[in-house]
Amino acid sequence: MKGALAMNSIQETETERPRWRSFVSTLQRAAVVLALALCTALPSYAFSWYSGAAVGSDGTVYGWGVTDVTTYSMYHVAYVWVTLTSPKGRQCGPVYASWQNSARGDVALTFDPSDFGTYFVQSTNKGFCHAGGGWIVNGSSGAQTTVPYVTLTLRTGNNNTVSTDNDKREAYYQELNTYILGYFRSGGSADHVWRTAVEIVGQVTPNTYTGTFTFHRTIVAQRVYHDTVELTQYRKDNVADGVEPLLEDLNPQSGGSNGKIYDLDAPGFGSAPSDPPGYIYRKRVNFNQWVTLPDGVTQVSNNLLWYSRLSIVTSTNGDQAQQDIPNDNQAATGSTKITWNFQ
Amino acid sequence: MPGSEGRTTMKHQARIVDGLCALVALLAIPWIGHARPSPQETPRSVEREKLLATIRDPGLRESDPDRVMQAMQRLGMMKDTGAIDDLIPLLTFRRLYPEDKDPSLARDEDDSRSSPRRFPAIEALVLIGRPALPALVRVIGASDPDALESKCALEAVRWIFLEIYESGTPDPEKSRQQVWWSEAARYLAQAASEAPSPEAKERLRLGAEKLKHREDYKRPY
Repeated sequence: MKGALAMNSIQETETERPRWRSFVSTLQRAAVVLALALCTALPSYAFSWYSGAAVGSDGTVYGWGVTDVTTYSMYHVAYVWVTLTSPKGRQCGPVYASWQNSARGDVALTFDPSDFGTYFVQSTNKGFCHAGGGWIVNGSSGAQTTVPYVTLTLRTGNNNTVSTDNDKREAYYQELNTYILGYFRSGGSADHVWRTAVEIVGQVTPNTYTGTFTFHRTIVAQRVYHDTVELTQYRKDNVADGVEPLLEDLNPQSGGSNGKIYDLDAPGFGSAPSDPPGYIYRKRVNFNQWVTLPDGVTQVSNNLLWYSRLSIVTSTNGDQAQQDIPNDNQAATGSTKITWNFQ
Repeated sequence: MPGSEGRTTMKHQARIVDGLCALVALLAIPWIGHARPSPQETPRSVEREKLLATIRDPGLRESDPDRVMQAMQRLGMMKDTGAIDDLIPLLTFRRLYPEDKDPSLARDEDDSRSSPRRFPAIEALVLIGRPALPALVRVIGASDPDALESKCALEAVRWIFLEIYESGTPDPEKSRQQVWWSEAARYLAQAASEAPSPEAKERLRLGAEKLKHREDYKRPY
C-alpha cells in the first residue's frame, strides 16, 4: 500500500508540475493579451488638418486653420499658416502658428459695407516628427463663408402663425384666409384645399444689413398616391418650385424684423371634381431651400431641407383629412420617405 | 571706341524707346478698337429689352407661355414702370395648370393658385406698385364690370394697396385689413369723381363699392 501510495504520490507530483507550468504559461499569455489590450485602449489619434470660417453678429468674418498631429509616443510639432481673403481682395494673414502636437491660427476681417460676397480661408498645414526626422503632414485646407450670411430655419404647426414682422402676413391671409401655419384646409383667394403651410425664416448676419436677397426652392422629390398606388403623372424630381414674390419678405429691416427675411409656402392637394367619395390621395414632397444675393448665383445661406406629408379623402362635403397613418399631415425640417406609408 | 560705344548706347536707347512706344500702342489697341457701350446699354437695360421683346411676342404666348410669364414676373421684380403699358393688355393672359387643361386631374398645388399667380400680369403690376394704378383705373373705367379684364384690374388695385400697406409702418390702432381695403376703395372713388365720362365714372364707382364691401376677392375670375 505504501508502495502504491508512494507511487501515487510520485504520480501526483509528476502531474502537478505540468499543471504549474501550464498555469505560468497561461499567465504569460494573459499578460501579453492584457498588454495588447492596454495598448489598444490608449487614446489613438488620427492626424487632422482643416480650416473654418464664420461670420459674427457684427459682420466680422472669422477664419481659422488647425493642424493636429497629436501622439503620445512621438515628439510632433504642428504648423499652420492661415490667410483670409475678402471678395474685394482685403486680406488678413498669413498668420503663422506652431506648437507641440496641435496648432491653430486665427484670422479676421472687420465688416465693410461695400465688401459683400464670398470670403475664403486658405491654410497650409504641416506636421513634423522629430523622432522620425521627417514631415508627417504636408497639406492644405480651405473654407469659405459669405457676408451677408443667412441662417434658414422653418416654422410650422403647433399653433404657430405667420410672424408679425413678416411683411407678407396680410398677403398670406388674403390667399389662405388664415394666419395659421401647419395643416389646414385653406379659404381665401387661393384654391380651397388641404395644405401644410410653412414659414421659412432667414436670420441675416449682420442683422443691420440693408440689401436684399433671392429665395430659391427645389422639389427634390415628390410622389402622389391613390391610397397605396403611385400616380406617376404627379411625380417630380429635382425641379424648381414656383417663385411667389408676393409671399416673400426680402427686406431684412422691414416691419422691425432686425435682420430677418421670410418666405411662405403652403403645398397642398385637392381632388378632381370627378373623383368618387372615399377616394384617397397621399402626397409626399421633399424640398431644398436656399438664399442667394440678388445675382441669383452667390449662395449666402445654408441648404434647408424640409418636407410635406399630406393625405386627403374625398367625400360628398368636399375633401377631408385622412388620418390613418401616424405622423402624416405635417411639414417639418429634414426629409421624409416618399412612400405612401413612410415605410 | 568711346564714340562707337556712345552710338551703341544711343542705339540701345532708341530701341528701348521704340519698344516702349510699340508696347503702349499695343496696350492702347483694345481701348481704341473697342467701341464703348453707351451709358444706356447697361446689363439691366439689355435684360429689360429682352424681357419686353419676350412679352410682346404673341407667338411665344402660345409656344412658350412659361417663358413669357417668367419675363413678366422679372419685369415686375425690376419695378419697371416702362413695362406697364405692355403688361396692361396681358391682364387676362393666364397661367394654365394641368387641371385647367384636363379637368379629370386632381389639383397638385405647388403654389397658391391665387389670382396674381393665375394672372401673371396682376403679379407684375402689383410688384411695380403705385405707378401702375392710373393705367389700371383706365382699364376699369373703359371695361364692362363683368369682363375678366375689369375684374383682373380691380384685383390688381386691391393687391397694390395691400403691398403699399405691407411695406409701410403698421398703424397699431387699426387692423391691417381695415386700412388697406378702405384705402383702395377711397382711391377708386376719387378716380370715379375725376373720370372723363359718365360711363367710366359709374364703372369706377362700382369698383370702389366692390372693394368697400370686399366683394369678389375670393374668386375674381
